[in-house]
Amino acid sequence: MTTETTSLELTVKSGFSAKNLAIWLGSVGIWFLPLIWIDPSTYMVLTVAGVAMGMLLFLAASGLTLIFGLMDVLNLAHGAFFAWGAYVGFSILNRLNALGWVETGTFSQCLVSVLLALLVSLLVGVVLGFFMERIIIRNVYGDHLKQILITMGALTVMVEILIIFWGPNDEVVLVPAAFQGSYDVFDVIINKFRVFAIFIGVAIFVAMQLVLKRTKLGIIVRGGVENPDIVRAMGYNIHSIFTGVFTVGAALAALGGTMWGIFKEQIYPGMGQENLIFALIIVIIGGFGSVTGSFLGAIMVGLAFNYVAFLLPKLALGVNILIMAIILLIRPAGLMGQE
Amino acid sequence: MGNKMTQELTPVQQERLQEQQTRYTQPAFLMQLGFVGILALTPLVIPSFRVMDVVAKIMIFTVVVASYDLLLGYTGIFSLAHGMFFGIGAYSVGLIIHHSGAPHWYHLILAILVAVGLSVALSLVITFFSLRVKAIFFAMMTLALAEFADILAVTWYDLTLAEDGVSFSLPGIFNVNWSVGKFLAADINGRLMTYYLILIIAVLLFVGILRFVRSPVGRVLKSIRDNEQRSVALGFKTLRYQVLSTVFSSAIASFAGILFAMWLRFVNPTSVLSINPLMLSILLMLIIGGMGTLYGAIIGAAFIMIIETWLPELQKLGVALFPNLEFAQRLVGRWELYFGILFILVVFFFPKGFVGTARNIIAQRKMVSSESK
Amino acid sequence: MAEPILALEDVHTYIGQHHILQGVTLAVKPGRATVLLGRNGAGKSTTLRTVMGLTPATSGQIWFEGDHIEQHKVYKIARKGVGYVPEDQAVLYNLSVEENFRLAMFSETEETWQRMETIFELFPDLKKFWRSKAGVLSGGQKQMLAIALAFLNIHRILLIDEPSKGLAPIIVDHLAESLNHIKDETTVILVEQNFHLACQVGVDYFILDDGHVVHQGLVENLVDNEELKQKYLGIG
Repeated sequence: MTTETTSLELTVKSGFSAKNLAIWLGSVGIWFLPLIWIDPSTYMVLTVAGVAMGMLLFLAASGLTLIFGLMDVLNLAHGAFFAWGAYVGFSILNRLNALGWVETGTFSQCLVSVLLALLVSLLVGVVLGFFMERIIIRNVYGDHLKQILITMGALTVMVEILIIFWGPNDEVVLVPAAFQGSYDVFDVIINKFRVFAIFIGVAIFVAMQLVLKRTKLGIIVRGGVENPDIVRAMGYNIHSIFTGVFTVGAALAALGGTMWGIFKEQIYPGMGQENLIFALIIVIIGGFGSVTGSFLGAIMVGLAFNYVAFLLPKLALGVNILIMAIILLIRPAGLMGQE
Repeated sequence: MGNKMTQELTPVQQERLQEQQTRYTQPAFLMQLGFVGILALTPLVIPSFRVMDVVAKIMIFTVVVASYDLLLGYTGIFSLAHGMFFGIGAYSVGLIIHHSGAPHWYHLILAILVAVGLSVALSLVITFFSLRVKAIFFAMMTLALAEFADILAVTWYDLTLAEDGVSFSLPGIFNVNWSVGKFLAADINGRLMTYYLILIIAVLLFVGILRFVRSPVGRVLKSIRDNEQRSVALGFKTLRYQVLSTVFSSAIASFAGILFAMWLRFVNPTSVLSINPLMLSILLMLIIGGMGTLYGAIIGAAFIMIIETWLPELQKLGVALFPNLEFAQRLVGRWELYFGILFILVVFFFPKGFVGTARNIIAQRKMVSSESK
Repeated sequence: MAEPILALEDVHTYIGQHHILQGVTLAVKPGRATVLLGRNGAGKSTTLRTVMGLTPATSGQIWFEGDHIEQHKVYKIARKGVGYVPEDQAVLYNLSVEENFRLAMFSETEETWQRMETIFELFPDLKKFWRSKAGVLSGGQKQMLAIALAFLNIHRILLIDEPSKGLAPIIVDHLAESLNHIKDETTVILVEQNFHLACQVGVDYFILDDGHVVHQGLVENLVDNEELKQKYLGIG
């Protein structure tokens, strides 16, 4: 039972059984379905948009999945880190704009602006995550009901504090000049920032995989996700690992928020809560504790959302809930979940 | 075996028979009757509309929270979609009347049928999932579903008028313009009639939940909540009971939503469908009152409704104190912040709620006194 | 008489509402392999878990090499030199055999790798499956890995919980061999249902019933005591 590996590995190990092949073809092929209703170049644009959106959601979801996988903690306040990241990024870009680095900046100035915004929001995420773990999460380990309740309250509080500082209105985020506009690739218009978003998402994914698979810290985290007691009995202070993972998760979410703000060019206080739903869906689809799972799940959610939003706008979120429901039915642990 | 034939009653049956015979003379029952009487007299004696408004809302939310207590406290199913059912009821009334022009009696009946029907259907689907997946997955799924409903209402302008909300009027004696003079301190008008309708139905629904919980079905639910495996081993088809409980509680929440819409004569996503603040309020009311107590719903609803009615005054206070400092205004005026802090504090320090803690204390006293005998 | 390396006094442990350990008192002498025997539910596994800190004692005292450890955190107890091989899952299935070892190593030194050589001699299968996920190993191999991980570091005492559970007799023999090897370096405290294995390895014994110690003594005296075996272990 616990020797069950991912369906990918199963396929490789057990050889290509007809059923596995069918499942694989189905799950890959289904993404070409929208071509029935959408013309190819629009389809490409939507695909890029979908993958880009997925990458940004992956940043938020990856933290959430590790936190739940490792610490068995359901953090509904994760959305707050996302929102804070967005607003901090927004403020940094405004400040830098006064220096002329953003809307009218050179390429290097634009690049630095974005990196600076990302860096500061990363730090803010670290601080918020650290204190949240110490003060709130510490006290509700093991009690899922309390976790859900307390983190819902914490989400409200954190968003309210955000509103106190920045006000309750929507804000427009300035996009640095170098990232405005699009590339024209074989008649397909590809937005520049989307490319950047995909790049950042993939980079972070690769970095996380390297840490998890190649470093001792990664081994400890993966071991802890599976069985914290064994890791503790081996002499590791799993508690500080928890705090570390929580903090990193918060920082990633903040990063995602900043990117999202520039991506959508607009931010509002409720964005954390709304994107939390996406993150939750991704985590459920991908399986708790699996970074690869959230990567794939995020791409799926991003693509599904964009295709459906083009065809039937109101049902876009509904489709993702449907996907989540289907996955829960056929594979309750998620695509790559354990147990 | 063969009790019915031998005329000899089991101790349980004897107890129930006695309870049934003396039910209407118990002091507890008289107190309950008196309480309802007070509620009925309130608008006639206190001329303030504010008071009547708060009391009506308290009654409605008592029913909502009691139905949620049934679901979570008694059946042990943690769903975050309860606010959604409330919203379904509210929107049924609002949209039916709004889209048909003039309000008629049958609209109300239609709204009830639509709301309850939709709720039953949805809750059947939800129950199907709740038993296939683990509790936390289920909670998150219901959260996603509720958010979806909220977003749908917010974006589907043609149907729901989005955040602007739907205003409508009520038919017949409930209409604002209906009036036949005064009695004591109150005008006999549509508002008053609506108030009494709410009172009657709320009491009926609440009593309905009480009876449900005390019935044999309710006892099975408690055993399922406490130890599901045991219940299955004892031969109970737990699925049936869970479905029954879920469907019943969702339908009641929808009904309460209908009453709420009738009272406000206005529905919009934030007030009847949102997670924040609607579902959060319901949760907080349940916790403050006490999970698994039903009567706690009254206390929880009263507590939070009163806070929610007067807390927004803080906003005015903020503007008054700091007419030029927006930051300070917000600091004082964002009552939602203090609400959230209250929420956290209650979950940390007061998780059993008023009635729950009271029952604990009473139980401990009983234990002490029986041990010292 | 030598100072005990591990001593419990009137230890009570609750798991939720259940009163599992109801006053356990025992002392383990250094260098003498000790077995904890008793029926299912007697509290043997819980005793080990309580010593390790995984299921902390509600009351009572626990000394390890002179220090009070009943309030200590699990990782601190581990670092003091207490090794633990749990009953059910003792290795991490999603990690490779290599990663399991890397995790178990406190520090990767010359010495550690030399011990690996000894381990490979004792458990050649582990070398074969070095890069495979621990989850694909057979039941017996998983147990070998668990013992090997415990053997990697020299612990002061090693708590082992039912290592033979679910294993074929021939593998149990191999297990006994490796345990006897370990006995030389560490004080082993073994919980076992397999009486034969327990007798091969153990020098002293404690019998638990209903959450406390009901009998103790030398294993060599227990082997033939049919009355005790029948009464407390249900065998014979």
